[in-house]
Amino acid sequence: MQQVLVQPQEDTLQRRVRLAPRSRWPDVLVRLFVKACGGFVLLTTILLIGFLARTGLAGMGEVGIWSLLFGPRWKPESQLYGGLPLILGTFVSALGAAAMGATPAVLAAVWLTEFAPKPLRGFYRRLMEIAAAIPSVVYGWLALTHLVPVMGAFAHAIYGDDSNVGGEGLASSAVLLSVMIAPTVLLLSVDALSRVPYNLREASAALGASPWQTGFRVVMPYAWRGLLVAVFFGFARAAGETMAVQMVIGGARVIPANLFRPTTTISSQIVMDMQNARPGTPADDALFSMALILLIVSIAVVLVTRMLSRPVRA
Amino acid sequence: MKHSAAVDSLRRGRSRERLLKGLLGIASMSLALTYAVALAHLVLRGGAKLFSFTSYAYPLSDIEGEGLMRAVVAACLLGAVAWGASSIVRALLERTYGSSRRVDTVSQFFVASVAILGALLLRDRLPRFLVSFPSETTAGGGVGPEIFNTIYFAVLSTAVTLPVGVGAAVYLARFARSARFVSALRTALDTLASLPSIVYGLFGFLVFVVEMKAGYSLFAGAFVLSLLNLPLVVGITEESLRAVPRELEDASLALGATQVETVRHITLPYAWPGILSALVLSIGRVFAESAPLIMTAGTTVSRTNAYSLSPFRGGETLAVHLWYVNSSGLSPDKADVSAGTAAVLIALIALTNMLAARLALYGGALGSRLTKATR
Amino acid sequence: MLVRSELISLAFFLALGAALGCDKTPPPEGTAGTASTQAALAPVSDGPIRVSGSSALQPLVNAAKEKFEAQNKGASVEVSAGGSKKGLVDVASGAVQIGDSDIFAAPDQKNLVDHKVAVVGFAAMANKGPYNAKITSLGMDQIAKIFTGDIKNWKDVGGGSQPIVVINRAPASGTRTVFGNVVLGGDKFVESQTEDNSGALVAKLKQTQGAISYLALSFKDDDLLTLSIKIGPDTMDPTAETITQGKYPVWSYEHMYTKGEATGGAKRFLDFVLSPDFQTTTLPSVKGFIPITAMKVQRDKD
Repeated sequence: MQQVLVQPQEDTLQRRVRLAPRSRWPDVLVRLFVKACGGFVLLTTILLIGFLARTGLAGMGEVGIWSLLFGPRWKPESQLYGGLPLILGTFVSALGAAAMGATPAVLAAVWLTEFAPKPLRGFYRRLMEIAAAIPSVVYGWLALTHLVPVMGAFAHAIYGDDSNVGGEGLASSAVLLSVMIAPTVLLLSVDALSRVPYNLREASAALGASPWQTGFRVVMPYAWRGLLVAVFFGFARAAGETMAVQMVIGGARVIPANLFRPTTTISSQIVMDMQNARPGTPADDALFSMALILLIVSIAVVLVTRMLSRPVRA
Repeated sequence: MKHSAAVDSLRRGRSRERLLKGLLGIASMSLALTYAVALAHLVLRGGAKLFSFTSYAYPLSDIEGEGLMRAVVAACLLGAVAWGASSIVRALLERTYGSSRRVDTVSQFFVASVAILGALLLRDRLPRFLVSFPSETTAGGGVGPEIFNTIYFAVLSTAVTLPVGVGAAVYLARFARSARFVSALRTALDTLASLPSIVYGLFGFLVFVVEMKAGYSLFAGAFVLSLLNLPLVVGITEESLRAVPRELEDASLALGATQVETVRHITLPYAWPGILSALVLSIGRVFAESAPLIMTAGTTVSRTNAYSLSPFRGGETLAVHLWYVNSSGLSPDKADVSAGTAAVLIALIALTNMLAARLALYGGALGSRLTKATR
Repeated sequence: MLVRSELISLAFFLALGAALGCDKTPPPEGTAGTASTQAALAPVSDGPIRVSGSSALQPLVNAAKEKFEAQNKGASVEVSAGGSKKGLVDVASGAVQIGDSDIFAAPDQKNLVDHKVAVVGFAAMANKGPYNAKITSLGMDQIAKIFTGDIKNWKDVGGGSQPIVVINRAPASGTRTVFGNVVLGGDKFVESQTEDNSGALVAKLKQTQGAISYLALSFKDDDLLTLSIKIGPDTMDPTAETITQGKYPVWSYEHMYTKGEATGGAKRFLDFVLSPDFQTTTLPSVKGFIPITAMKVQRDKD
């Protein structure tokens, strides 16, 4: 009896499933299109890395990796391709920026998510979003007109009035970069802190902890991976920053004697030299080699952040 | 004894905590204050150049398309002013009388009519800075062509980012079959996201200027900018697509739609505000970039094709102009021109941010978590 | 809340607009009459003429561009800077039609055709302060030692005690090459901060105590100390007379290079710049430039 009742229903279902169209011809085109989009992205990335690697490796072959990494003076017109001033300039500025800019940003992010009065929060976040969207050339121009003279006076105050120091140098670029990356690091930290499940805070409060203790002993340690990702992202951005740094770093292609003497970074030197480099010459290829070095470092930083952020995302 | 000691230390700790909280609050607020002061300084310093309408008639020069450009600028400026005024009035009316459709239509009509009237009447009396040509060595240069180029770049790069980015995101979220391809694609996107912007400029220079010998062109710059924006757009779009409730799609499939039809009629419309906010964010990034454009689109504007729609000419944008004026320009009013350029940039970016915030209000994956955390 | 923040920002902009009145500055020279210039000599519409390169030549090229565009309706000349070497690279690669340069092209850039359009002098200019108030000229070897970094203080050349701050030009600058070749015997400048923008360089020289750099005479400024050069018993001031007679040695030709022979709009522009009318009436009126015909000495390389 039951079998007789069930059989027609199954037949109907199967028939309906068989009759329901799973794919019509426009659907095939659409599927092809979206796959082609993915393919285009992949292809362009490969092309990008490929072109850069080809010219960069040619430059390394022509000029020598040792010179590019450790040579003390960059002077292409005299066939000197020492990249050490560039690399040092990039890293000191970026590290200084990460230290000086990321720390207040993370602390402010904790304040924003844990302690700030509610009416203030949206306004603060929107202000920081606008600050993060301000172009880097605007920051560079503001630094050129306001920060550099102040730094020059500061340098003279430290080293004496008649010493050979000035406002352009690593100190200025580090301060500029820290101001530039702080909003981004803050927004990313707020993002990381907001992923912390709310019941964790409730549990901590139930155990008698004050908001301060909850914020700094429970929430922040839970989100440390996301916060570290934010700081690393700020560091990568500071290392790659071009235009603003070029305006305040001075452009002397040697290792500076102190933080207030002019020097250069990888990206600002590329921009300055690219304008008049002849494609195919060792000078031009060496610039691509320095760009390749910067690229490798940036990718390494991002890979590290990926490894850090994976457990949280699961 | 133990109890009171504990209470005492608790009390001391609480006051110390209050002090620390206060200090942290003051520090954070002063951090925000520096940015607010910088923004205010930019707007005030450069705003003078933007808002001083000319008292003499500034006739059109022979540049093709300048009349249309001026009309658009006049319409936008006056439309913005009218919209601001009508928003204030509308808010006041809403507070006392509640919202009314008649007020809304009247205010829209008001804004539209002011914009059109302004376009017709004030075409020759616009702020000189916004419509005149830049000048290398003399004072009095403006940023008219740069504004046009900036907005045109936004349009061009979005035209590439939108299909490719949304297509790749749809593939990743809904149609992905081969795990290797997916992981390769994700690695590619992560790589693109980590590159410094100058690397994009070098790539564009190598491909378009050196290999293809196309010279400085807008389409090279737009291509490079859309590459730059792809990780952002794909990431946010994918998140928005994944945030679509599964039940809706299952219901659609159950009713007999194919997967593609479901995506087209259910998933995409639901995720559309998030996608739109991703595009608006990418436009904000386009406004701000200068290093890739210096090497692909050049640093000059030409009188013959300043406002032409051909993407095969070179052109300078506002950000590039700001850098160029401060590094190679010889004009004596450099500081004023820089301030004005920065102010226009800030105004454009603030506008796009407001738009993005408004879109996030409607939904999408991006707005909800962040706004919930800070609400 | 959204409406409130929007309102605040828009109210701010409105207040700003209301606070600032009309712009009553007079129209800049020439723009009021752009629509009704003189009748065109020949309608030129084969695209813009792109020029780039030396910033020392730029004031002259701009003066020529204004007159040329006024006389040829529809013509358009785009001028950008970047340095003499960039001008040479750009014209060789075809990015521009005319490359301005303070220096002769390299021997391996064979297909570039040289057009000498003017002569320009260069001088060492320094910040004016109490420490060098009495100094007006220095020997060639003293200047060389300052820029190679061997002399580090103004007191070593007869002034007060003030460290010398050398500000260099970018490596692409023709001024740097010419000054280096004539005064230092090569590019032996001490590596220090670089400032490529001549206008910003003048501003920086005025602000920085002890600063010294080298500029074309078109940027000579009364607030800066322009150093004359002592050669033997004579003191040569950097003026047109001493340069044309060959007594002041730091000068060079201003070249406008084209790839192959000039054609089309570039040829018209070059002919205009080399025309006797321009060379005798307009060129001398632009500060710092000397017509080639006035030179009594010649050079065939830097």
